[in-house]
Amino acid sequence: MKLYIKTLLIILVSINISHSNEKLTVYTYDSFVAEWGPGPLLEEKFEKECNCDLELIGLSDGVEILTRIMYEGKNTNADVVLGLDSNLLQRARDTNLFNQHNIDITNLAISNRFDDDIFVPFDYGYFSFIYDSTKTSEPPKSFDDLLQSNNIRIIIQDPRTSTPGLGLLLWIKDIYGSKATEVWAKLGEKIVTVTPGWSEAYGLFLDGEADMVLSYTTSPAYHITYENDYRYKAAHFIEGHYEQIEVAAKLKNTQNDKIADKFLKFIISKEAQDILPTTQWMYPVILEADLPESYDHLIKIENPLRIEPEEIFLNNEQWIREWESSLSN
Amino acid sequence: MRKYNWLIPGLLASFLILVIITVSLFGIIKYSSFKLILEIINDRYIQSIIYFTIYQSLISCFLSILIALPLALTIQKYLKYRLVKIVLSLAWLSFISPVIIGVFAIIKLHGISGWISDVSLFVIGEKLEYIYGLNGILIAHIFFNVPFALRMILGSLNTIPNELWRVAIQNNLNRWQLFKILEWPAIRNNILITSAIIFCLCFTSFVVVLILGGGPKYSIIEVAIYYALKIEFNIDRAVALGIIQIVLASVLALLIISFTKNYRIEPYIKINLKIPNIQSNNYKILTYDIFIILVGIAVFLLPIIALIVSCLKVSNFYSLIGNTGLLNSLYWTIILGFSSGILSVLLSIMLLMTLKILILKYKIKWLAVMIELSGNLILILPPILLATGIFLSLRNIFNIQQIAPYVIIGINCLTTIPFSIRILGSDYIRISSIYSRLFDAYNIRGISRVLKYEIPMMRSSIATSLAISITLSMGDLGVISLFGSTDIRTLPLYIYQSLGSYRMDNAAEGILLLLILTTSIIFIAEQIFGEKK
Repeated sequence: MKLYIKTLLIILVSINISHSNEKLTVYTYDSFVAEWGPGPLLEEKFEKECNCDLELIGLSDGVEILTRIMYEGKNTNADVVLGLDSNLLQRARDTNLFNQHNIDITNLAISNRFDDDIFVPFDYGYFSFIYDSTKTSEPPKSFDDLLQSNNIRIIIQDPRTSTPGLGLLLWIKDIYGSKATEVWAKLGEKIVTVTPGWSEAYGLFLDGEADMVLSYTTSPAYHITYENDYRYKAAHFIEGHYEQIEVAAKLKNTQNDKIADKFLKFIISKEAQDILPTTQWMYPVILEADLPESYDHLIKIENPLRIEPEEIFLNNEQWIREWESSLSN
Repeated sequence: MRKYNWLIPGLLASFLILVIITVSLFGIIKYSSFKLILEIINDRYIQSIIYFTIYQSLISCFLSILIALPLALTIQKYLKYRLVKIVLSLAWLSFISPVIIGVFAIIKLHGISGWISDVSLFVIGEKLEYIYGLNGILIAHIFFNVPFALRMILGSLNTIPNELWRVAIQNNLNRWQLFKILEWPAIRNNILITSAIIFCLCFTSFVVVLILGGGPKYSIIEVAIYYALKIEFNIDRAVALGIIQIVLASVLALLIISFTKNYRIEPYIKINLKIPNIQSNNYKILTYDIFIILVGIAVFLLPIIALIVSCLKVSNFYSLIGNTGLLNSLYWTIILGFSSGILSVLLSIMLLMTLKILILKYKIKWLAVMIELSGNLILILPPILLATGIFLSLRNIFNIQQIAPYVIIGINCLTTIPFSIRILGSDYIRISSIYSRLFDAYNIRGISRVLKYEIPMMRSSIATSLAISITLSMGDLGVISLFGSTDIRTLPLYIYQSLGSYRMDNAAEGILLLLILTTSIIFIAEQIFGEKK
């Protein structure tokens, strides 16, 4: 009899425990969930904190996250999206699928230029051209410099299929405005190739196919930290560097509203933010986060550039067509 | 009803294939609009990319055959040498490698900092840049497709009986006459169908054009579809472009195939590998032969060797073993690859079981063409639309994460069926035609005939087609990146993810492991199981 009651109790207790194991589904992108990315560590820490099950689903890239949500619509399984690019914010907002977060984001490193009631920023970075200092002794110091130079060859990404590519498009648009088409025509002579994504471009650059590649100011930090290699540096342009901010947001139709809120708060807590610099290779948004020593060697950006999401949304297609025709001649 | 039993396997296989395709089309068909198609065709930019898509596919296809043909005609004389057989097995590597790896291999050889450029730097003091643009696209397509064309042509040449060769030589036919009278008729049909397949492959060759094209100047329809789908969220436009692509590809492919004559099967006595009795004491011919073979090796093997060397510089074999993420990807690669490969060969055999009887006994050409078409249909469908279509159709019924492995296996199986049919096809029909009367006489029919007698006789082609289907599926990156997840990760995905996180050493390890895996499978299949008695 006693044994019977004991087993019954154990069963009841275990049912209870399994009930409290709610699941939070987060859509993010591939490199986030890779074993060397922030995903595994964040998952471990968050699951301990919330006593729940965190499921990170890695889609191919940041753009795919929004595409998938848009195709899935109201029936989406996702509770939270993590890794949307700031350039897509207007389109994301227009889907009307995201809900307001109620988190204080006024004390972040980027709060002087970013504020939003729906999207929570969790990391940011600046685009720049990376070069090999052992091969290129005199890198261009400005965009104009780059355009005038005769012997620099670059690899860039396609703005239609990659966020750095789009970032470069917007960067040039921001600096040169209506003169952008001429700039692209001039730049076109220096372009070795335009790759679909960042990985191919960076890989080709490391293989020596070009002198410079479009990447982030934080890229050299990887080589310093993991390879003890100081030769890759970012070229500092006096006109300023375009900024990319990555955001997270909660879906309106989530069944796990409270845990979603917890997750959004978690992602900008020091515990989570400390992980980002050496896994994401982007800057953490909170000021108190620890930065590794390698980040001291990076160029500092004083004047970040950014175009408002609404303006991007209105002109995106036209700017892309301009780009296509400038480079097709 | 028993009379029509032979129809069942073929129709069943066709049905399964068409079901998957229909499920996919179902998801996107509601977005099609004739008006939109007309609008798009009138756009200047679209017109230019349509033109370029057709142009580069035709030239790539033509060049691939142009290189493969003399290579095949030369190599057929030396098939008895073990070394030559090994080189032929290795040739498959460029065909089955994931496209992104193949592109990197080509850049390692032909790129601005590649081997050839280094040689040029040494000799004339200047680096060479010729790979980014139309040249690169053509070189890449040749690299990927010459081995396939080569093996298909060799397979057809294999069907010419020794007796005909002896008679031809006795009558002192010169080289050109030998080709025109003996070799061309044997290879004609196969070469045309192979050309059509290569044309379709180049038509939808997304990654090659994007990376080696050098910029938006060289763009193909598939890129525009990708952009419409992913960036513009304009499914209507994507579907309209897809329909344009399908129509163009089918028309041109059918045009190429229209030059084939009716199926003609020669009754042969022997089935063994033929070694023509052409005495080559002539040093001029020998030199020419060696030159041709070296050119061939340079085309499809040298880039891979360049890639392996460069991977070994970054990583070594010891770190392969310690890397658990890598081993996990290996596990999934093997599971998914073997499943789709075996399923693909199974469906191909089923299709051929029906096809052979249609062709040999009843000579009903239209039904045979329909059944074979269902197997080859996948070649003209834009892969990205297919995958998106399946996603859209099924997402309301199933949880995509749960059915992902089955979708991956299904689509990969479909993608490799055209090649299995090609590899198995001529062998199966030839064996059937030789032995059908014998089997009829002994009353060996149906399944037992197939399983006990015909399949063991086709051992070597089945081994090759299994190896190719399995390794082709293993090398897929497109489907897995749409339907894969954190848990289901294959080697190509592991490699691409590594590249996306600065981890060039991990990527190199992944590439080495994938090459070791695929080479082993091909070798085991061709050199061990494929040995003819």
